[in-house]
Amino acid sequence: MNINTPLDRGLIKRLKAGDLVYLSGAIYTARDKVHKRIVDLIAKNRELPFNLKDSIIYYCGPTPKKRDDIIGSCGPTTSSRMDKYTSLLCKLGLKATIGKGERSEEVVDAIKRYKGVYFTTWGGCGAYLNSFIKSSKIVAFKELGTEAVRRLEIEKFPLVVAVDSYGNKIWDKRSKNEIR
Amino acid sequence: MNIDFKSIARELYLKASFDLRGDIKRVLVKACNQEREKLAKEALTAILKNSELAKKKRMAICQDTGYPIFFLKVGNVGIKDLSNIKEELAKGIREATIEGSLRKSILLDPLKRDKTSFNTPPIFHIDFNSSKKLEIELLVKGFGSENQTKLLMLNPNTLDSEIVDIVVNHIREVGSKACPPYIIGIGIGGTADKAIVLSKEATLVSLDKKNRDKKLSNLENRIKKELNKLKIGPLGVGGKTTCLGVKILTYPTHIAGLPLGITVSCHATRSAKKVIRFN
Repeated sequence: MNINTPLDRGLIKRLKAGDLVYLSGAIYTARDKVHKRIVDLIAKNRELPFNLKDSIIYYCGPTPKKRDDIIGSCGPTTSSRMDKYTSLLCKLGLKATIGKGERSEEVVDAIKRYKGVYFTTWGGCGAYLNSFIKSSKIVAFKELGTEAVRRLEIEKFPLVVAVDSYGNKIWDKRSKNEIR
Repeated sequence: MNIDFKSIARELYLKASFDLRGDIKRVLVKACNQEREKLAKEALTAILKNSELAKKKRMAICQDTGYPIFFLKVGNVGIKDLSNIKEELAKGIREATIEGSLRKSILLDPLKRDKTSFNTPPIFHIDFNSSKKLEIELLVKGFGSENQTKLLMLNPNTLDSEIVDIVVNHIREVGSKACPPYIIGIGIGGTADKAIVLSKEATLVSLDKKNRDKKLSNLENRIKKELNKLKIGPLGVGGKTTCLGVKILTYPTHIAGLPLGITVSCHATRSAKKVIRFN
C-alpha cells in the first residue's frame, strides 16, 4: 500500500501491525543526541528545531554523502534507545517513528493513546534505502554531524507497521505465526 | 620485507564496508529461497539488493560503519621492528574513512561525547604463533549489535543444555534490535575478558567452515536450530531465518569458573582479512 504524509487519522486507523507500506513525503532524522536536546528545550519552553505536530521522526544517522549523491548510506538505528523520550513527544503531536527493533510498553501505550504508529524499516540496508530519498537538508544542530536533524523527502520508502494505533505489536504476532 | 600496513588497513576497511562477506551472502541467498512468508522474503530480498548496491556504488552496506577492531596473528615472520604497526594501521583506517565517505562514529571521550575522530584509534587484539605468516583481520563492529553483547561467569558444573538455554533466552530478549538474521559468536573458557574476545573472534569464522571439534559442532547446530524456532525472522518480521550461523571458540579455563561470552552480530557482519606469507 502507498501512503503519504501527513498521516491522517483515517489512514492511521487502517494501518495494521504486519502491513508493508511505502511512504512518500517529508520526515525528520533524529537520534540520541537530538532527543536529549529536544527534551531539554521542551523543559525550558523553548522553540523546537521542527514542528512536532503530525511529524514523523526517523532514527537515522547517515554516512557522509559523496559529491553527486543526495545522502549517504541511511538505514535505521535501534529505536529502543529513544524509548524514554518518545511518550512525551507523542503527547506533543509526534505521529510516527521509524527505526528498528522492539519498543517498551510505555511507548506502545503512548502510540495507542495518541493514535500514532511505529514503523520499522530494513535495518542494515542503508545503501538500498538511499535510493528512496529525494532530498536531504540539515535543518538544525549542524554541529552534531551525522546526528544533525535532517529534513528528508522520501518516495515510496519501504516500511513495516510494527506497532499500530490499537497497540498491536508485530513481535506478538510473529510468535503466534500471524504474519504472512 | 617492507610491509605497507597503512595501505593494508585502508583496503581492509573499504572492502569490509562495501563488499558483504561471500560466506554470509551464500547463506542469505539460501535462506531467501527457503522462506515462504511474504514479509520475511521481502526483508531478505532487501538485504541482498543492499549488498549488490553497496558494492556497485561503493556506498557503505550500513550507515554504522562500525568500530574497527584488528585481530593480529603474528608468526615467525622475521620482522625486527613492529613498533609502528599500530600507528600505521590507524592511519589506514583514517584514510579509508575519508576516501570511502564512511561515518565518523567514534567519540574520543566516552563521557564528554563531543568530538568524533576518523574512526580511530582502532582496537587491537594481538597473538603470537610459530607459523610463517602474519595475519591481519579487521572486524568493523556495528553498535546496534554490540550493545547486545553478554558476559556470564557460569558455575563450572553448568551443562551444555543450560548453555543452549542461556543463549536462546538472551536472543529472545534481544529480539530484532540488532538486525537479524544473526551470526552468534560464542566464547567459552579463559577469563572474563578472554571469553568476550573469543566470542568476537568467532564471528570472523567463515560460515562455510564446519567446526572440527565434533562436540562443539553439535552444540553450534543445536543452538542455531533453537534460535530459528524463535520466529523473530529477518529484521524482526517473523519467519524461519533468525540465525545464519553459530560459531564457538574455546580456551582453557580455571577450575573455579566457566566464562561465557556472547557476541551478537548482524546480517551485515563486516570483516576482511589479509594474510602475508614469509618464506
